[in-house]
Amino acid sequence: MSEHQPHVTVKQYYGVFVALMVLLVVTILLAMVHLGALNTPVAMTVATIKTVLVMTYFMHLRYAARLVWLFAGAGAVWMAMLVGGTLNDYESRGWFTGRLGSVPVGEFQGVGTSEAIQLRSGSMPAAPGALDAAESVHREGRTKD
Amino acid sequence: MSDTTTAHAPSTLVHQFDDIEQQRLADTMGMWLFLATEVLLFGGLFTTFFVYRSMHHEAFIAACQTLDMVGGGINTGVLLCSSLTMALAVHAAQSADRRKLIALLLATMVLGLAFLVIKFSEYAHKYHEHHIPIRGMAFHFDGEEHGLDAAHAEETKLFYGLYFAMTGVHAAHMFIGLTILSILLVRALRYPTTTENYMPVEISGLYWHLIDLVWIYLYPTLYLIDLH
Amino acid sequence: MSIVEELPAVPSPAPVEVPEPNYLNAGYTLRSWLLTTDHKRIGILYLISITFFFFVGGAAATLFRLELMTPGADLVESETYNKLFTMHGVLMIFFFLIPSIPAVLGNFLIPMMIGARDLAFPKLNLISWYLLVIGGLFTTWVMLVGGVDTGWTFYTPYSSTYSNTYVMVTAIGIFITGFSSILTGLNFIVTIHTMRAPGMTWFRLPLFVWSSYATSLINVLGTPVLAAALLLIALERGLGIGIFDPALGGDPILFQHLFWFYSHPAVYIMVLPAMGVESELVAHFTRNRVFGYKFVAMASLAIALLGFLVWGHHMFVSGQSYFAGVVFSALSYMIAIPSAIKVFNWTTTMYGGTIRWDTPLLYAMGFIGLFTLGGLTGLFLAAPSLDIHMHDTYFVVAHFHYIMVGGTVMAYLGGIHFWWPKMFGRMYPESWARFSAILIFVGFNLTFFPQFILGYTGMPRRYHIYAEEFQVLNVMSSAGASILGVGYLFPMCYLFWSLKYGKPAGPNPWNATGLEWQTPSPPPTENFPITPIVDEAPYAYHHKELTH
Repeated sequence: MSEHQPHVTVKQYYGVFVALMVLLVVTILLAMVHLGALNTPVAMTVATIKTVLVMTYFMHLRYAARLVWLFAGAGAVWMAMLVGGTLNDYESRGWFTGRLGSVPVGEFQGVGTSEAIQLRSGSMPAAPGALDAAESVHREGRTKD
Repeated sequence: MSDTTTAHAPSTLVHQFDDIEQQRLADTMGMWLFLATEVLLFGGLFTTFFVYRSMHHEAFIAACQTLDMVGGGINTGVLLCSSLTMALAVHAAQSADRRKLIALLLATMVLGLAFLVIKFSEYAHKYHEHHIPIRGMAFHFDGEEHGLDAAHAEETKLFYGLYFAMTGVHAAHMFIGLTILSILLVRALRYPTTTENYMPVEISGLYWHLIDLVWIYLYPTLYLIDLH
Repeated sequence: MSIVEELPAVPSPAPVEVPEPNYLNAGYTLRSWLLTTDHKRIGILYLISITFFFFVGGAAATLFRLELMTPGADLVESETYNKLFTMHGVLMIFFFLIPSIPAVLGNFLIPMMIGARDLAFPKLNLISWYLLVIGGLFTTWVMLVGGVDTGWTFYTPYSSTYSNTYVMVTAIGIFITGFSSILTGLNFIVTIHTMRAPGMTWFRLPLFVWSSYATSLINVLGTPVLAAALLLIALERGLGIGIFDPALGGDPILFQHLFWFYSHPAVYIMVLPAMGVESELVAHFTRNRVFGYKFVAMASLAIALLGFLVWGHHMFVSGQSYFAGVVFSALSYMIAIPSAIKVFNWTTTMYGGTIRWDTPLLYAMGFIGLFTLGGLTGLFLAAPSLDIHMHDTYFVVAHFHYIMVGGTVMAYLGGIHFWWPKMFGRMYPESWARFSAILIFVGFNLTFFPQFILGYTGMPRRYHIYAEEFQVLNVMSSAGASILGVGYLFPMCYLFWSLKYGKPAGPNPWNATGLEWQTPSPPPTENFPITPIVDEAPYAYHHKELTH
């Protein structure tokens, strides 16, 4: 390795390690405190701080080329798109009514059973219990994976 | 750091690159891109978990309470230690310190194995409690103990299914990481450690740190939901 | 007097033509091919593999198009029909279209186009090919033992709980093949960033390289999410872990989010490289610089990025929230813009150019028209109000075939013809090739245009029994399919024939610009004896004309 290139020192490694262990304890303690809806964002934030420390020092991003930073961040950004886009659907259920409005998350009544199908489509099943009977035939009759 | 091996280190510059700096940049970029794919693989699993946690909140809280938070916390500590030893191993490789490299690689592997041992003992505990939702294993979740009716008790299977899927995929990555470390160990034992041939250790270190990072998110997500 | 009699004159033997060492004659053993790390040989290995999968997928299509000639169920049972269209989709998408241009043309050309000796990670490149082959073996085994009938979309809970076919094995096969795409994409990105020759700045790169780069971004960032979705299905089938089981509260729409997060960008994996080839063909066969080069380059990146934000347009009627539907619809309209920019730029490039009506240009022209039609019909589908009527009808089938077959396959064939002399040192027979291109164009339109009408008037997709009034159009479609099938057989035959009997091609039979044409045909293993230095813009045809 070139002599002039800066790199992370052993002291910095130990320092980051201590910080990580402290943050681990913080995570556990904070989880035991009732913060309501904030518990999850707080836990994720602490995890992210730990992640940034590991990536910057243990994984040498501190002294890496800018392009490498871009690749390092891309995974996180793309995951945010996946989670964001999916939760965008679930959290906005029930905002609008009408043919395309769907049932809000949390109001499912036994998804997959005859009641739920009735709730969603507004129609009666063929006979009470008929759907459940047909369902068990399909489940048990499977021979291939 | 004299060593008595006579074997030559494998030549570091490969034919398609013009110089070693280009090769090192390419290797680093390649590994970071691969790590991005791993983030997205786990990302798909995390998304599934977040959605179901939102949809079946009570069942997930109840199931989470049956997990061993202390064991998980210890495992997190073990992995953080292993990240330290791995970072120090990379440093030893860059400094051409062969003995330190071998010692630190071994330490990282021991810590990794410790993680897996603790993890599998957790799995064994779940087996005894009949919380493994796999075909052929009797599953029983005592809903009454956690204030759940029968239908919601069935929903805990989703939690446990995802718990085993996510920690299982993570454990599979640990096995791959341990395999890579043993290859590095053999390499360090066989060939001289020079200031020129440290890149395999460095990029394997990146992979190892990713395994740690995934667990840094897995732990609060799976073990620390609404503990109060 | 000489005691040595003059010997009778012996005619000297004909000069032995020693072929120049090139990548094809650098080793004739099977081992030298199966263990090669030469990007050019790996491109050829991919060519052979994906051609095989193309014809198997085509055979499935032949069978179900035969069935669809009559409204009743005459040829196959419903379960078999479901297996046929599933295998057609799985093979064509994962084992033909997604690898096609990147793995064949990209592998072969990218190092040469940037002036490099090979890709960044040649051994990883070979592993990518083996992963495709292994995944293909899984899928072939499934076909032989009974098939899978869930549709290539694997919607739950049918795929995860109820289907009595080999879903898990197929999912594992596609999972393995996904890693082939990921590693190829990774290889291309690192290569393009770090191994460009001196003077080859980003804005001097051929547009094929820009498109391949954008495609590789999608490969790397999207495919792992498909891996996650397939992994969950495989775990549910194989171990009985309930993830999407409705009795436990499993949500089918969650699977669709995970699936389409990859599978929508996947269609851009399939079309972006074709757009890259299109840029090359239009430039080289009109001998003009590409109009708006930077716009085309940036549009490729825009398509790659925006492509990740529109997946919900496959789920307008599945039960997704209304609000999410509106957001995804708006974003889907936006992504039409960079595609349209490219179409305008290609047509403008041709203006004032010197057009040569060789086969590659015929395919390129076909691409512009058919891709535009396919893209416009995508806008119909991007409106939720229209999609309510057209979702799961033949309108959708026609839309994506116009893009994937009328677009990608035509661009692929155009590219194969254009670079064939470079790859094998032989020209293909031009008359047969032109005839085939026209036959394919005619067969394609006869097959798929009626399907727009069928879908709009209400025929559902994935049905083998349909109402009587749809028969005429179905017969037209099947007739077109037979012409299309014959059309594809011609290039198979004459290209193979040309390997031995084609006219030998020199280094640059098209007198085209580009680093790949500065090497012999076929190129030597290391591509360039000395690393080239680049000092001019791409498609510098104006310079060529001046110095002619």
